[in-house]
Amino acid sequence: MNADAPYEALAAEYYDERHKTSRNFDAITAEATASWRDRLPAGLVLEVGCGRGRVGEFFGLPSTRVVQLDNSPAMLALPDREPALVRVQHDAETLPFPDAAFGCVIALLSDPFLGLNFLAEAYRVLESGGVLCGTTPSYEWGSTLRETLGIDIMSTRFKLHGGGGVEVPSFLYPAPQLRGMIERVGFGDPIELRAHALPKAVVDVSDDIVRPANHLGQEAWELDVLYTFWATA
Amino acid sequence: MTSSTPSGQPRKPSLKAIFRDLPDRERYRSWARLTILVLAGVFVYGFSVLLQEEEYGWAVIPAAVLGVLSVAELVVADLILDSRFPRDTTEFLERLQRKLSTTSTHEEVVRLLESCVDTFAGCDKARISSTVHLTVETVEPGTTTTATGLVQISDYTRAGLGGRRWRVLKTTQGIVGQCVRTGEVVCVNFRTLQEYERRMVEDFGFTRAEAQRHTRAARSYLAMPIRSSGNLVGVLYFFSTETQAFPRCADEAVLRTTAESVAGLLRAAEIL
Repeated sequence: MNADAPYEALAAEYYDERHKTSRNFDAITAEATASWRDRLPAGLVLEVGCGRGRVGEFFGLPSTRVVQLDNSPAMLALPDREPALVRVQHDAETLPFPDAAFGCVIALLSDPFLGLNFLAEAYRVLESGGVLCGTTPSYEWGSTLRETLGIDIMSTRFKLHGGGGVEVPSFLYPAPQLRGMIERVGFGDPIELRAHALPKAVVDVSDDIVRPANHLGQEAWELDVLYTFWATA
Repeated sequence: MTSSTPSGQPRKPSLKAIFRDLPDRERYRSWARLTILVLAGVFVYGFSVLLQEEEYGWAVIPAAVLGVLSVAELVVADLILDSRFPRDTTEFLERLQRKLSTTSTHEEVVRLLESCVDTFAGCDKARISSTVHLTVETVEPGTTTTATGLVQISDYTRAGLGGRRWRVLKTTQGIVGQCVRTGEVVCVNFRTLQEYERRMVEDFGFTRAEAQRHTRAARSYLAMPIRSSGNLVGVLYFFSTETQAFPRCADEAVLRTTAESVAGLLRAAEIL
């Protein structure tokens, strides 16, 4: 594994339909963030951990407003991607932009880099009144799954189509701690933090969602698997 | 750190725990003395039996062995083991151990560290451990060259997270070593175990084997200099098993106050 860009090995197949858990997360994200489309502020948008880019698909943002950032060259080189103003290869923990450069920072499935340093950097690059919004797998789901798989709470495992697997960093936090982290770096009230379960319309559910749900005595559509957060600088 | 019983009463440390907590030098010396005492007992018995039997010629053998054992005790315990530190440092370490074990200074230091961790925000405090290192002069093995080293004087505040007290570290290695060399606050974060293992070797001067022996679950570190009368005398050291905890979770003013308070405590105990 490339320790500096751990998602490198996964890039070529990350968006494949066969990665059912990721596709289930797409469905939850689409439903959970539907109301953001009309709320996002004006100005430049920084999409952190962009992969092939999703903010056009989810929020209808024009490419002329979007700066894509990812630390994986392979992710940034994916051919079937959303257009953007510019693509930047860099870590999320130290953003290579001046203060107050963006109206909005979006981090969808931010668990590979979510932490105080990233949040503080997001706060720094946002102009006053700018918005940080994003999603991350819920602690309830992730910690239960990782416990049943016997893997470290701060990493997750993807099975590769060619056989074998890749373990990548994935930092999960209980909701109260995540709220505390967002407050700690300077974002003011109100901080919106919500938990979301799989939409009922999704019928092809990943075993990695069914198993933890059953472990907790719930149906797959009852377990909160995704947090959304929205905070204003 | 004093452990407590469920009723809140301090638990009396076991003999094994006291022995384990001794500095390496004291532990080795105690082992050497114990072994030599047992052997000496056997040979004194043999010597007295031979005297009673008026076998004076044979009695010379246990007497000679006793003489050799006495010298061995001195050589093993005092010459070989002391050769790691200059004499001033040896005296300093003995005074340090005496002061920390006969006063409440160690408990006070641990309490200051715990109070400092209590002020941290935006992190899981249960995943943070901390300790204090003091600078000491050490002798490079096999030479007479002295170098600045660090001795860990307090238990880690989180049981099971961190190494044992009295470890002696090189300032040419590690995050604490970098803090001493630069005189600045040092913060380091690792995303994965693989990154930790690589950078501990490439950036922090450890061998792979040394890196394997450390607390490999740690992902975020902070080391802050402790100064007394303007001189760097030690390091406050914190780590978390969560990544990106430091420096953001800590308030630098609180860290500085804690470092000053620890230095004040050590001065009051005449350790500094």
